[in-house]
Amino acid sequence: MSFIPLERGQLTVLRINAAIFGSVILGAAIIACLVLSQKGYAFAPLIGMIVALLLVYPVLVSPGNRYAAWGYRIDPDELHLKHGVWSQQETIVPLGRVQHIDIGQGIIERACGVSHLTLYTAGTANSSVTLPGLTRAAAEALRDEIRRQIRQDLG
Amino acid sequence: MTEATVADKRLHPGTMVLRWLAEAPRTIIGLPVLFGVMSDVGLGWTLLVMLSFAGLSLLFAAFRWHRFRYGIGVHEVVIESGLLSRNRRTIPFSRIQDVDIERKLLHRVFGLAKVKIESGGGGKDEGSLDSVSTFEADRIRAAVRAAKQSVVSAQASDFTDADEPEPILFEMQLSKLLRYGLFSYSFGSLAAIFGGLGYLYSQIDSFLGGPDDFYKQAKGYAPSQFEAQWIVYSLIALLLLAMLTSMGKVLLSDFGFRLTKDDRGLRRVRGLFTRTEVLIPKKRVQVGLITTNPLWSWIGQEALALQTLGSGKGASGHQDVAPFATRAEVEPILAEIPTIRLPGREEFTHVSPRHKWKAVIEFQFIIAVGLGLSYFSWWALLAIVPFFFIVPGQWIDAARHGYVVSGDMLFVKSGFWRRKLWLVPINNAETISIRRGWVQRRWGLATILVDTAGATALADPRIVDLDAGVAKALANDLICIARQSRLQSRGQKDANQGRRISNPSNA
Repeated sequence: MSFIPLERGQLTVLRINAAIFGSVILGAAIIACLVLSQKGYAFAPLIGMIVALLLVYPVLVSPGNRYAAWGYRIDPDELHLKHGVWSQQETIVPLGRVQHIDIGQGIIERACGVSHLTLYTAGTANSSVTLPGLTRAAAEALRDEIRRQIRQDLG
Repeated sequence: MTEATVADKRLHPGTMVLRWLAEAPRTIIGLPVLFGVMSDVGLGWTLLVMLSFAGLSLLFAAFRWHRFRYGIGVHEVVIESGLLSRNRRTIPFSRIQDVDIERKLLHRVFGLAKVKIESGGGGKDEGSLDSVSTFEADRIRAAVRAAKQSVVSAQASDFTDADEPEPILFEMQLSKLLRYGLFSYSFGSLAAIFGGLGYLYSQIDSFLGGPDDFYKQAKGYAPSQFEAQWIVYSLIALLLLAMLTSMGKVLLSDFGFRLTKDDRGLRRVRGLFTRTEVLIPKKRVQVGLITTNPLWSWIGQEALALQTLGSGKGASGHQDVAPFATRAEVEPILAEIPTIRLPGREEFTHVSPRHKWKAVIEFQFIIAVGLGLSYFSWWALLAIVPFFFIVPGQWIDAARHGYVVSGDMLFVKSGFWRRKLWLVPINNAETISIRRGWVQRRWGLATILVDTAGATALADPRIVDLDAGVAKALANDLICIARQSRLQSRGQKDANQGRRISNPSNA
């Protein structure tokens, strides 16, 4: 019962997203440092360094961990997926319960050749379940399979 | 399987102008005026900025219109959208509950309509076409409805006129209602009254010149005895007051409570001044919930609520169908819902013994925070007081948490002070998930959540802190049972085409 890892492209997507996040924070910190040091505070560079240190995990380490934590498996009747590093979640979606399906692709995702599939159920806490890091073809194949299931279920 | 629906239709071009106008107050007028005020430039500049904003947002609306496409195929509706990121949504006909057409003032001016495609679940925007011409809206609705008719066997219209009185399943006479009021004495209302009195007291203080003066005066009249007596009297008065409020609340909302049945579902009527009527279709009932507390349990009473999947007009969420009833009164109500039954003599399995420790230890954080704050104010030391009441209470609460799988039902019970018994038909699980938080992973624990339609965010039948291995096996069992009963009902549907399946649950 092993899980299939996501496409490598998704790792790049996660890294780019983390880099964007990191540079925004770092940029703000640098500006703050400059302003503070102009006002003559000696500890200003220290703040910049602390921020940079705090960013090491979320920017450099976390994307890899998060990518590694993702996995999915398609059984005949269910989609299993797991994710999460600090708190982990494994979700099982009976394909027959899916209400509607989205296939989406952000700009970064498009550049990295991956797209994401979102399954919507009538549930509450997990009313939408997103599986990222699929090739467009894989996402479409999965969607067609689920459509077939839904038709069987109610047809 | 390559009969993919082509999303080849665009919204009505008027949409661009409509959306542009609808957003005008924010983008065209709001921001530039803010800019004008903030930067103190002349009226000319402000107007120029306004114009460029107007142009930009019109361009934006046009671009959005250009990227939005929809199509109605043989089996489904497809909607494509997104400016930078692209999204393609597929909504199968069989999942569509209804198609609503909405026309606001602006829509009417332009002769347009917004089409809302509702597919189960809460009031999310599942598929909205904003806007198309009224002609197109009617066409879409007709097309979807016609397609649905061929997919799902024809359903009767939602509301039927009752000529003859419907059989009563449960009702509350005045005496029962008063008893219910007496026992639904909530600490919430008591707290509210305390709060109110506290406020009043502080107001009186400010009139009489501070509490100290007030006290001294009072003590002068009746030394020593005054305090004890005053406290006892006021406590009694408070209790009576709380009792009266809860009684009043119950009378207002549940006067003339009556639950009747027709062939499609349950109908509930209640209320003193505003009579409300709610129809709960049998088919939409997802989960049953029985709640009680030690006091109610002692006098043999409990409350039954049904969790229903909402549609546009129907009731959704948790519906009280018997707020104060004996088990003998609850049974015939549940007998009306073919998918839900009560547990028999099954033995409940308890969750991991570590659950109790976790419940108690997590609470320590509150106390720790309280202690930390006590550095600033001695009042924070009050945080320790609940330690003596809440910790043993939580221990008892956690000790009662357990579950049992029986046939196609999952029963979950939790709590001692507020006792809950969830009746979950496993086939109604929308998803099943295993969650492991950071602490849980250290302790080898996991939580199972059986997600169902129409649940409220705060209350769901989750099984907290199972042993991780047990959780995995249980999730597997649950999914197998769900698969089996789905295959079964599919088979039955094939067997008796068109006939209503009366009881798909009894294996």
